[in-house]
Amino acid sequence: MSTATVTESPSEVLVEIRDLVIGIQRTRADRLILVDSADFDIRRGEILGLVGESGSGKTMVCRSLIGTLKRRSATIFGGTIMFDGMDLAKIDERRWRSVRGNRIGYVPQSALTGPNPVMTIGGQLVEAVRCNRNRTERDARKRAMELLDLVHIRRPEVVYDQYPFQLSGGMRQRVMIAAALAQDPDIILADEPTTGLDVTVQAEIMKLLREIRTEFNMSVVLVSHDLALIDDVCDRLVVMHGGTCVEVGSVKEVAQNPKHPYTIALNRARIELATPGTELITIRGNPPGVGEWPSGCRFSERCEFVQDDCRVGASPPLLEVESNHWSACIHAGDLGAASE
Amino acid sequence: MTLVEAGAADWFDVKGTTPKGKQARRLKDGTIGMIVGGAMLGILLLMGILVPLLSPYESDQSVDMPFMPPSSTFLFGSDGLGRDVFLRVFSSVYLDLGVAFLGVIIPFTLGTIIGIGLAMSRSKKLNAVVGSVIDGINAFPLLVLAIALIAILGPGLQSVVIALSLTNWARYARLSRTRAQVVKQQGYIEAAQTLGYSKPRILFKHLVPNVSSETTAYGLSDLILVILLIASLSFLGLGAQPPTPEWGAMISDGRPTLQMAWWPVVFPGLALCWAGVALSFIAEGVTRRERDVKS
Repeated sequence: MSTATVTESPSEVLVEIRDLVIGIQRTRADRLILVDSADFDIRRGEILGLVGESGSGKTMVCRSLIGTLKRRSATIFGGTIMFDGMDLAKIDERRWRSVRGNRIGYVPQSALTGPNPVMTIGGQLVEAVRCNRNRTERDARKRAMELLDLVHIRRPEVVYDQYPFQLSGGMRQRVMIAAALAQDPDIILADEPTTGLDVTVQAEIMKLLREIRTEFNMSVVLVSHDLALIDDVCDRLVVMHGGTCVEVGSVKEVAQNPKHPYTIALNRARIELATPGTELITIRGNPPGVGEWPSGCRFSERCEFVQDDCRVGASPPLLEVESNHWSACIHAGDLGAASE
Repeated sequence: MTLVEAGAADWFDVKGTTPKGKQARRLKDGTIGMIVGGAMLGILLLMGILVPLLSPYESDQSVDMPFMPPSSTFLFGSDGLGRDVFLRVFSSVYLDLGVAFLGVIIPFTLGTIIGIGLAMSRSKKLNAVVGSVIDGINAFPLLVLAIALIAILGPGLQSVVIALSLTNWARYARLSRTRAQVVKQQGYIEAAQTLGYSKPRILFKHLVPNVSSETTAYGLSDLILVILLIASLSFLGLGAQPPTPEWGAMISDGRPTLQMAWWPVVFPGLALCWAGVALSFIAEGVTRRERDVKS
């Protein structure tokens, strides 16, 4: 329902990521590029899925949006991340502190080690609530209860005084979502938020993220490698491969009318489409290793439609093949016929 | 709620949220051990105050014939100089435990600061240099190093504390460095960062408590070792000097005449054991609790 309204009317662009290059400075002259030319927008009130294999750079892009690249000793070498008049690629640590948590919330990957084991749940939420705003202890406590209620934790007054070890993985992840919501951010980044949780809990967490989006008109960026999970929840998809964005578009477009051979291959390899008794369809080859990217299109080595001109020059940029649907394949126009 | 319902609720209440569930949990998580250990330690500490206070004698005063066996007037008998062993055993409580406490808390603090500092620093050189100092110190048995240092500093309890501070920190530093390296990679540190917390806040409210919760458990068991170490040093004549009442020194005093009179040796020994057992009960309880919280 709400999904339809959001996808039909392209809403206000909240974050504009252009030509983002992320890498590691190994020595003065030696740079290892992890992501180059990431190019997409985050719109208000949408759930944006960021999909790709391991090493495709999705986590790095996500971290650049919350300013914690340094934890993995990576840096932004170029490009812009425009958000509310600021370029997040260039602002200093001091400015970042007013953005983190406050404007952009983050739900970490590891639900089990997400909450601090030596603090009560309530203590942690109160800390998150009081961090950037002056609230009284009582106010903060009330707000923390509200947050627990918001993420559907039953008996919040009991959980408030409990320690993380007393909660299940799903509940811990709910607490982390509550903490991310504490400051009413505009965007929630969820980096594989359901890693290590079982399937039913995964579904509940996804449902929760959707609810939050609808209720507060927040944007949610969902990083995942699980396509089945993603196209249930997301409005738009960014498909990453070898450190670049290869296809950007609405879930419907990308799933039904993919314009990049990688997305086509991904869709074909989906496990829920497999016929029992037959071998699973896979994408041949391995994802190109970081720093070993072939010239031209980085998928060319694995692509079944590859042609000679795919292997030359720089990595092809995203081009708008249909309205609001971008592909980085130079033969995107011919793909429809070929994949039939 | 009917009785049956209440019973069932407790039975399934693994997380210990109902009062009965909490009680069941307490048995499991070593609180009983902590209570017993705490009581044993409490008795010792109480006797340490009361006995010297209520006794009409001084601890170094001759009150009876030498080597009188335990009797109703002098419960633990008298030693070679006719001093009351009962009084002397309990006069040493605060000295022994106090010196041991200092001998743990100073290295603990030093080691935690150095260890966390190393884990947070990006300098490989610093880590290599301090790291090998730590390994070097840890390669020697504590007693050997302590004896060597006291040889330089001169015997006395003060030297014992200094020697312990100079050597024992390395163990805590190694422990907290490793722990801090693990903790700083944990989700909750990342989460704290992404919630916009300041660096000091992340360090002191999130990193340090998670590191020191681990080292505290070690520190408690180390306290037992340090009590024994101090007694050993005094036994060797390097710690407390006569006539100061101290368990190790008393055992040393009574040793030559052990065949004639067992009480001047056995009672201080028992007091040492009592303190050790009490502390290990507490340490065990704390460790179990830690394990619960971490899992």
